[in-house]
This record gives sequence, structure tokens and C-alpha cells, in this order.
Amino acid sequence: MNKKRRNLWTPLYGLALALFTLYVVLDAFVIPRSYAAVQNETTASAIVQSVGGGTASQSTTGTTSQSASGTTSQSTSGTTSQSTTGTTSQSTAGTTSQSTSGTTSQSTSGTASQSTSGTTAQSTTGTTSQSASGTTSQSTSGTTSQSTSGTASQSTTGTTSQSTTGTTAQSTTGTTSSSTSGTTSQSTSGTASQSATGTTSQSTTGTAASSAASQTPVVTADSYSDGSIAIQITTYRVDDTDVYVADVTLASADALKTALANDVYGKNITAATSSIAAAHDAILAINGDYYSARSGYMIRNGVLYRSTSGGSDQEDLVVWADGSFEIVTEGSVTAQQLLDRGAWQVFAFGPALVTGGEISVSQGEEVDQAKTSNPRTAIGIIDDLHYVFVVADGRTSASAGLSLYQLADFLKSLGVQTAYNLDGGGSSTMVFNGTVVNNPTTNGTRISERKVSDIVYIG
Amino acid sequence: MSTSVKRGRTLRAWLGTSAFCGLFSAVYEHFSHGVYSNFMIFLFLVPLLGGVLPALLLRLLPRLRRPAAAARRLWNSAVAALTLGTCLTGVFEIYGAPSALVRVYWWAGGALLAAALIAWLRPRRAAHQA
Repeated sequence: MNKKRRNLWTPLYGLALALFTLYVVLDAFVIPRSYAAVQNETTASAIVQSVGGGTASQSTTGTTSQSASGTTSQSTSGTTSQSTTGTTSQSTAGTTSQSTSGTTSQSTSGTASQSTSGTTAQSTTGTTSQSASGTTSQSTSGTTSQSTSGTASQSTTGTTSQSTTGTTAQSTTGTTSSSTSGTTSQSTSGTASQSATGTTSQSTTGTAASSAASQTPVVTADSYSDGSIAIQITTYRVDDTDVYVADVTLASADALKTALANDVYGKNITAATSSIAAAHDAILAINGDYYSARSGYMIRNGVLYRSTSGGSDQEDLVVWADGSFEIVTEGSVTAQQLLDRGAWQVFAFGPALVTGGEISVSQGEEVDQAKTSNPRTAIGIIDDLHYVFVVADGRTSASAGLSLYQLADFLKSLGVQTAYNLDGGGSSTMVFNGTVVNNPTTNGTRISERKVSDIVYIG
Repeated sequence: MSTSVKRGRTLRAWLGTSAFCGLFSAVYEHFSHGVYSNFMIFLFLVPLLGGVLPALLLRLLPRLRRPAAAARRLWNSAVAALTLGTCLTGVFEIYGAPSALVRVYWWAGGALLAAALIAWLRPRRAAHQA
């Protein structure tokens, strides 16, 4: 009997193809996955320590933890003696350079914690003696430069906490003696500059608290002011489109932050801009670059999450520790180099809209293949610590949306020096004091917030 | 079922797939707010050139070497994989999210295409050997 063979290939292959396609779609749009940040897997890239011209002695007792990222360089000449007892934790990120000449003696007892981010340069000449007892905590962000000449002696007893954010420059010449007993807390935000010449003696006993922080916030429907943060929301009508501009002035770059949905770095991990903003007590927030749907470098709040390039022509926005903006192409620098140079935030969406005060997109240039008007989100800097957060409506009968060129032209008219395009379309959202300001369009023209991967916020 | 009937069915199936792909990409592009992808725009060309054209050639050129059943299945499987790969690449380009998994379609499509060509061109064994 001539038995007919059944064709099993077609149904089996069809089933395999269908199942694999289902997996590809779920993987791309649905299945959440969290990833580890690159920085957590990377040790210090370059640590140079050199001791020359004299005796160096270091004695450590108890637990000592030291973590350094980026370029760290330390040079010591003459007699150096350092003695540490108890728990000491020191963390340094960015470029740190320390040079000491002459006799230096440093003694620390009890718990000492020191954390430094950004560029720090310290140079000491002559005899320096520093002694700290009890709990000492010092945290410095941004650019710090300290130069001491002559004899400097500092003695601290009890609990001391010092936190400095922004640019700090301190220069001391001559004999300086400072003695502090009891509890001392000092917090400085913004730019601080101190210069002393001759003999300076400072002695504090008991509890002293010094803070240059915020005043009581004054909040209206479209403004916020607390002494260190000033925000004004203004709505413009541009090319048949409602455009919302938040004019932001900060006393410190520390207030310009980013946040990830659910505070987790990964794929398909999303939340509404307003939800992420509420979780971080944001005063003002806009959607970020939707990193999980893009490729390219990603640094957020000084942490390197992704170092794979999205292409040599990919334009990234770098927000440095001092709050300044720079546009870089990924072909010209690595993510690790940006981190080492003190990059605080790196966004990989683009393109750059305005550079050097001039429009940097052509009339036909668009994000990938987007050729028509759309909702847009952009961030720009006008002057030092003076920013604009811009969100344009679109895809509705009330607002057509903007092309990138129209957006760039508008930003230029605001006086922006550098501006960068973030994720637009249905993602474009601005939240001020917990309220969504614009009309975000999700799934076409329906007005509702789309869940996004990340936000940029002031808080 | 005769070979000519099967060939006619295959031609109609690929014609239908090409028409569906053209309609699908037109609707998809219409709702993508001006974001376009060449993969999506030219999606219909994959089944048209990979399915309809070979079937037409086999019908119009009777002297052309007939592919065996295995070669035909491998070829059709390759075109199906390439069509899906093209479609998904278009979807991901419009969404703005690259997916490394799409490469599997290109690899599978290429391998199946090569296998189909080998199966078509290799010398056939005689049906009844002495």
C-alpha cells in the first residue's frame, strides 16, 4: 500500500515562528528586566600615588574602606604621618588631585566618613597638622579647590558634619589655627569663596550650626521660589501649538536631578512622569530620554549605567557637576571618560537643538524618521544655573505640535545657549507641584500620561 | 493533488500575503504620527519578490528546473522568516527601540534560503537505479 507521508514541516515551522515572534514582541514591550549599572562592576580606572622626598608613614587600625572612581592623583613630599583609628570610609568620584609639601600630620580617631564627587584639587605647602576625634563626616559635590600655604593647624573634637555643594574655592596664606569642640554642622550650597591672608585664628566651643539653605517656599499655580530654587511656568502659542516653558534658576546644580521609574535601571520598567516626580518630591519634572527604548551612553546622578554606544554620530547631552551643559558625540568620547571628567548626567536622545546660541538642526532634520510636527520635550541652558524646561503639545485639534526646527527656533528666541531634544510624542509631559501642566497624548490623540523610563526634575 | 494545482495555490498564497503586508504597513504608517520606516514601507516587496515572483517564473518558464518538495518548503520558510523579520524591524524602528532578537530572523531566513538553493540545484538521484 502506498502510504501518504504527512507534511509536518509546515505546521511545526509555523508554530515555532509564531512562538518566537510572540517572545520577541513580549521581550521588546512587556517583560520587565532590571540590569546592573556599569559603574558597580568597574573599579578605579586610574589611581596614581607617588611619595617622594622624605618619610611617609601611615598607620591604620580598625575598619577602613576606600573607593575611588575616575582619575585620582596624589603626590606627597617631605614628612607625612597619618594615623587612623576606628572606622574610616572614603569615597571619591571624578578627578581628584592632591599635592602636599613639607611636614603633614593627620590623626583621626573614631568614625570618619568623607565623600567627594566631581573635580577636587587640594594643594598644601608648609607644616600642616590636622587632628579629628569623634565622628566626622564630610561630603563635597562639584568643583572644590583648596590651597593652603604656611602653617595650618586644625583640631576638631566631637561630632562634625560638613556638607558642601557647588563650586567652592578656599585659599589661605600664613598661619591658620582653627580649633573646634562639641557639635558643629556646616552646610553650604552654591558658590562659596573664602580667602584669608595673614594670621587667622578661629575657635568654636559648644554647638554651632551654620547653613546657607532655603527660605520658606512661596508657591503659586505657576511659580515656585524658596531662595535657592526659582521656577516660573509660562505658556506660549507657537506655530499653532501650546508650548509650556519652565524658567528655572538654581543656587546650586545639585537641585537638577534625574530619576528612574521605580528607581530601577532596566528594560520595560516604566511609570508615569507624575508618579516618579511624586516619589522624589519633585517641584518640577519633565520626561527624560526614555533610556530603555534607546541605545547610547547613560549616566544619571553620577552613576554610569550604560557604556555601550548608540553610534559614533549619536549626540549626547552632558550635564557636568557644576550644572553646565555640553553636547558631545559618542564617537569622540567614551562613557567612562565622561564619568571620569565629572559628568553628572548624560542623555542619549537628541539631536542637539541649539549650540553656542545658534540653531543646530536643519529644517529637514528629525528624530530618526519623524518628519512631521509632534509633541516635544527639550531642556536648555540660558546662563550659569539658569535653565528652561520646555514641553510642546501636539497631535490634538488644539495643538499641531512642533518640528525640531520650530522647537529649536523657539528655544533660540528664549536666549538659550545649549538645548537638547528629549523623548517626545506621547511621552512629552511636564509636572509642576504634582499637577500635569501640558496635555500628554498617549495611544494617539487620547489625553493621558504615558509611562516612561525616567524623568528630569528639580527638587 | 497535482503539482500545478499546488503551484497555483502557492502563488495565490503569496499574492494574498503581499496584499496583506501592503495594507498592514499602510495602516501602521497612518497611525505612527509621521514616524516612518523603510522596512515597513517596503514590507510588501519581500513576499512579492520572494514568493510571487519565483512562483510566476516557474509557471511562465516551463523549462526551468522544477524544485523538489523539500526545496519548496525551505524556500517558503525562508521568505516567511524574512517577511516577519522585515515587519518587526519596521515596528521597532517606528517605536524607536532596537531589538537584538530580530537578527535571528535574518540568520534563519538566510540559512533557509541557502539550504533551499542547494536543495534545488544539487543533482537529483535517479528514481530507479539498476
